[in-house]
Amino acid sequence: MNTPPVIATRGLAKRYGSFAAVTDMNLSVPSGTISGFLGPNGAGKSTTIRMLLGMVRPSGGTATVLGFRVDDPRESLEIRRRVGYAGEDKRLYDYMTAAQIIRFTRSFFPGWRLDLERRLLSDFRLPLDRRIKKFSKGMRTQLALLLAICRGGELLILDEPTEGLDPIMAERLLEVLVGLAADGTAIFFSSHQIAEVEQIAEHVFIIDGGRLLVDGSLESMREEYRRVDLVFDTAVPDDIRTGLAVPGVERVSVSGRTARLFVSRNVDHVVHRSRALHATAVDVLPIGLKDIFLESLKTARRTDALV
Amino acid sequence: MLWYKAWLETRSRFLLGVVLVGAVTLFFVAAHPFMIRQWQSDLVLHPDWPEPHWFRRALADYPYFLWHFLFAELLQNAWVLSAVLLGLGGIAQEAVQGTAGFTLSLPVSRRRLLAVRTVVAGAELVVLGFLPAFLLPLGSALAGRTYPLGSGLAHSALMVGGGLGFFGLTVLLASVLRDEHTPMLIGVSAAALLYFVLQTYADDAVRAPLWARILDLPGLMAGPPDLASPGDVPWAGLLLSLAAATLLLGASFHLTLTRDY
Repeated sequence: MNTPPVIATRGLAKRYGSFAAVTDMNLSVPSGTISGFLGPNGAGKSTTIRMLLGMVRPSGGTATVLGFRVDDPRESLEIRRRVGYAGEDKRLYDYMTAAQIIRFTRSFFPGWRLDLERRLLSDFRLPLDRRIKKFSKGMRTQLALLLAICRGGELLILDEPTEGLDPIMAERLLEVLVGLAADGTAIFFSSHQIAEVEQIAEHVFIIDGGRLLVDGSLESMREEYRRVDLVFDTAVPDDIRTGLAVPGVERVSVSGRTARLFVSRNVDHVVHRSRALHATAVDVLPIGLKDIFLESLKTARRTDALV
Repeated sequence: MLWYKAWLETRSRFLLGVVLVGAVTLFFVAAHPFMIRQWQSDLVLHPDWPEPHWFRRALADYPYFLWHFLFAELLQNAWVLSAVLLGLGGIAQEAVQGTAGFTLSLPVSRRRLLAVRTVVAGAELVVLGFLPAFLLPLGSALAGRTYPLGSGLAHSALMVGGGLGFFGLTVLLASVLRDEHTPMLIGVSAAALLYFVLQTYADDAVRAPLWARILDLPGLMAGPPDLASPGDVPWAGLLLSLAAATLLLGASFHLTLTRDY
């Protein structure tokens, strides 16, 4: 049976005057999975997340989280009751101690996970009686993540969760997230750390300039995305771009007697067409998420420049 | 727990207000005999010195002496400063400090967040306003004099009711401006303008222009020295001031509910 997406947006947009922070965003985040929301700085990740939590009002489109509309104040309350969230900067009340803010946050969430609280406190070794004002950035990040994770939500939304954590703690956090997902919690996290998205995400969204560029499961991306290098005896034919104008060819770059293709699907058909153009060598290479990310950005920015 | 958060946020400013208001109040109770002795000696030694209009009555009438220095002047100043300080805070200020994301991710409406914050700070302000009403009779009794509780309560009520606009103004400024210090600077500057410029005009009852008398908020907060019956209360000014405070707070709520953070 198909379960409805935990996050669904249609044509979601946010404009600040003439600046479009998010444009025509169509997201469908599957339930019970870990989804990575990848994009460079300023891509619109945080604005999208803040719209989902009712902090920023959408300029257009619709969005639901766990079936509740984000633009309805009452339904937005329901969303926040069921969602754990840690924001990008992870600032907390400086005037509270760690124990005070844990007690404070716990009071709003009946499903608070005491077991996780104990485990994370033991992992993070946070000084409970110290004021947050005196915490290092790493400690503050750990505490903010604890406060998000222990809410016991059906969905966990984390904006750059490992920013400010040392590699050991980042790894530990990723383990915790995988464990939560195994227990049925859907996780949607933004990052520009491609390696960690590749490590734990099952579904990936790539955005740039406020627009969604790529949406798919990491497994299918690994299967379908390819780099195809074509080598020609003489110069690369002038009509190579028109000759390879088939669905799946996202970008063609030419250097000397070599053409490099970035292909998102239909690789067999692309290879067939390449041979028809008399390429003497056709190499098909698998590519990782990093290349998919970079190539998608280059393709989108090139298209924008042409428009 | 929102009440607890609001208390933690405001308690240092509230305690500063308690110290300020308490010190000002008790100073004039304790200093009264020394000041009277000095004035009497001045009258003998310098009979040619000009006398301010309040001088003779303050010399003879202890409650009037306290009203003049406290409810009409320094206590009022201290309370207005507290009103400006306690009006600061709220979600826009949290956005500056970077904590708005955490607060707004809690399952609490923005209306409730601001309401709790406003009620806690407002209650602290009321406590600060009424603290002298109790300190004056108590301090006076300890000093061997009497000050009627009823008079203190009436003057405190007038000071709080007439001055809530300052609180409303700072709450609004703190909702509009995404800056930690500008709301305080504007609030303090507005109070300073009122006390150092406008009140000087308004005090001169003969030459004061009409607009200065209408905007004489310090005069309204002080009220007449004798508040013996409801007829002595400047009801029109008081209601106008409360309406202004309500409008300012209403505008803050509207802004907070509709803004992006």
